[in-house]
Amino acid sequence: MKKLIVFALVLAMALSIPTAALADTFISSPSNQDAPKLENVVVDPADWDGEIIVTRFADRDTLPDEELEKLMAAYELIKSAEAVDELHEELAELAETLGVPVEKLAVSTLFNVHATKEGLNSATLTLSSPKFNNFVSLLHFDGEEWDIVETTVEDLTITFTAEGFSPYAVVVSTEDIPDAPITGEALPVVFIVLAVLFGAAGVCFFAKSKANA
Amino acid sequence: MYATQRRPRRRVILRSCLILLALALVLAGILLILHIWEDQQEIPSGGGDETFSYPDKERPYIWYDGQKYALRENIETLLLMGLDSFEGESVEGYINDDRADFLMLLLIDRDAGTCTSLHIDRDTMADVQVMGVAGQVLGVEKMQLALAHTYGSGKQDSCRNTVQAVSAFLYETPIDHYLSVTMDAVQILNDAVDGVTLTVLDDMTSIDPSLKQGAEVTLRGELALKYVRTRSGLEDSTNRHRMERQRQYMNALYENLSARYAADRDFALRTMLKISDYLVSDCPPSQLSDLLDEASTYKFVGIDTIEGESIVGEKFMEFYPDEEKLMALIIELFYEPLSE
Repeated sequence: MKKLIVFALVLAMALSIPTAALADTFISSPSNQDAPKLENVVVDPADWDGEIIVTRFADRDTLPDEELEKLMAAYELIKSAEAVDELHEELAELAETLGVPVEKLAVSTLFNVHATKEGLNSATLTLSSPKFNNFVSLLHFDGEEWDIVETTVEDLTITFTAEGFSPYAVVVSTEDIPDAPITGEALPVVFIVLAVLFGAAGVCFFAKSKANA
Repeated sequence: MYATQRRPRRRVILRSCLILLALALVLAGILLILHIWEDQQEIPSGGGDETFSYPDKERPYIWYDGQKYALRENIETLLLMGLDSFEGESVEGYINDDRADFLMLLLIDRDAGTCTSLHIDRDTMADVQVMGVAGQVLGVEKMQLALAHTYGSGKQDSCRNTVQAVSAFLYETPIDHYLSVTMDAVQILNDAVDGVTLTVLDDMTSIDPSLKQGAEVTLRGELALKYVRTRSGLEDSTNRHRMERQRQYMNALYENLSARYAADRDFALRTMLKISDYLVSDCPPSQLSDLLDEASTYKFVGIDTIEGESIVGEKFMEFYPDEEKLMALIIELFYEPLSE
């Protein structure tokens, strides 16, 4: 009897597992995880009980107005810079040290870091992201200008101490990336032909005019 | 005296022509040099297959199974992207949340007089260019094709990034044009043809009571979008299965569209203008309507799909094509055998 009960229980458990699995087969859609992942935080003072939030640029509308304004200002500066050393002159020296042309440096990601409570002196953050590949430098924007932040790097993880929050931008090297060819934008041959025909027509006109003179 | 007056005027005209001629020749020379330089740029390898080569930009060819094939002439391709968002939802930036959840490559073959399409799984794992904050290419990462559109502002740059990724995935098959639409366009297009009638493939009564499996319904309004978009809450919630409903819908929609085009030559342009606020394309509405007008006169051969395997990746679904079958399909659709 006991064996029968045990067998029935085992059978019931065995049947319930695939049912539970079937009930939860929905896989959500892929998404672009641009924001770095906060792996670790060490805060000063240690008893600070707030939260550090890393916000990706695409979610900037969730930020308080002051933070949003700084982030947009940072974004505009990056977009309008012809080369990244316009953001901070030391990046040119850094590029030279690395043996990389400064035009091969690019800002890979822009994100915001803010604290939910006051009273925080500083925080040592460890972040990870595929966007840290070929890491060169971390920049912090204080609302007016950019600073280079001392950072330790290990694989795709960076660690730095933040004494000010708001926008951070990661500069990477794109030296290994070949220049993309201009596909789909080939100059139309017709314009070349028209230009040549126009020139030839001019020659004929001139020649005819000279003959008639 | 009259003859003397004519000569200076003629000299002025001739001098002007000479100057214009010189400018034209200089311009032609510069354009020619740039054109030649462009031609000499290497096309990046997409599929990594050595059998593909493009020594002649005008007629690329490949070797496959001991036979030489050249890219068909007189074909035109358009990548249709359906975005998983409504107009105005996304905030402009260097990155966006508008996945290209629907990918279909339309192929117009003028010589054969046919129109074919290739339905591509948005979960297809492919090399996608990753772009930085100012738009530079940072590198290439393997990810779902749907995510190629999330790099960039969500407009032309994102579309071009998706075109690049799809083209590379299809072994550098050229894609001539692109057209992306937000979900707003589905309802407009659907209702422009007075709805689409089909037999419901799945039990979707949890979404709408009228969507009983096996029932013949005419989709109108937002019901059309629900039918082609929903997968959550269904017995088979995979994207692969949803693609079956999408193909069913596209086939039915195409029939309605063709009938409309035949009856009303302005229909295409009017429809393009109606959805113009919800589409991004490298073609203006008039060119799109001309293209679709033309396509409607050809025989619609059908919608091809790519065989392969869907697996659950680390977090999301991942589709891996059967590479041999993919290559055979590409050759069948885009290439023709050449005799040596």
